[in-house]
Amino acid sequence: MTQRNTRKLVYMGLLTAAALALSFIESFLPSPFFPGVKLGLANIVAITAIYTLPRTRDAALVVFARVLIGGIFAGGASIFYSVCGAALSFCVTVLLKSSRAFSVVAVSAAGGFFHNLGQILAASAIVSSASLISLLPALGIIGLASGLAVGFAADGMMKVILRKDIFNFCAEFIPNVVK
Amino acid sequence: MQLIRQKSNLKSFILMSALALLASVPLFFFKGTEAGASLEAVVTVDGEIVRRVPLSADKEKRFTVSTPYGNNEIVVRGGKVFVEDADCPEKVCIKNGAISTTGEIIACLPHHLLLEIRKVK
Repeated sequence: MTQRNTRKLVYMGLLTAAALALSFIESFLPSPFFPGVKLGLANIVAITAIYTLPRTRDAALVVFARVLIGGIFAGGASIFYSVCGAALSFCVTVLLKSSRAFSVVAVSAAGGFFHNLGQILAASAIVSSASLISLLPALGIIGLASGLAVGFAADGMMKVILRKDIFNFCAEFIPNVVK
Repeated sequence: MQLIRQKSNLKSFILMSALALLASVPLFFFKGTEAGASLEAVVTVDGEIVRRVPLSADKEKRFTVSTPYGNNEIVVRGGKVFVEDADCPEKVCIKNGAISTTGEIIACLPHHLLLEIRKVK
């Protein structure tokens, strides 16, 4: 049991590090949409964590560790919006995933949508006005599109991780593995 | 070896279409400018209106909004309005550029400031 927990901890640490590396790399890339709107490459790891870790709270730990550490790296007040977006996106993603009705790509697209919606709601609360919802058409579609891309990447990443000969140290607790 | 079972594509497609529809709902509430409507730029801080300026003014108008969190210098010129300068750290409001029709919005979140365009009632 202890060994299993240690392995899981190593895997979670690797995921968190990968997410931080992805958001670091992304900070050098120009925004594909308009200033301040990111692609959300780190969400590849969020999706992977939600699908491959045995418990929801393990995935939550990875996602929020990355948001908090990433927010400290980035500095500024943006961490508040990141946390709100990530929280809403995480809940929706977990719910849709456990419904077992949708593909990884669709769940990821929905996660991208709700990530942006969560940020709009957080910003609306800050400025005490509902007017910001007029950004939803643009940001919602952008969230869907980037979530779609992230979903394809996460799908590919999980196929590699779940190939037991590469990541065999974590295969014992990853569900969904068809032996 | 099938690792993650492929789920129904139809349901996935419906989910994404539903979200795209949901995203476009605000479009019906923030229609573009009707011809002849007179517009004004409205500045709110913490949801309170602090300044209204008609967009139709011929002369350039320039004013500074002082919030408890910082200052924004706003310019109205040629039927457009934009933030020219601000003492916030990221200057997102400046990079946003100029806006000229209803539904468009400029936000300076660190200063709790919104700059939007409304029809004059």
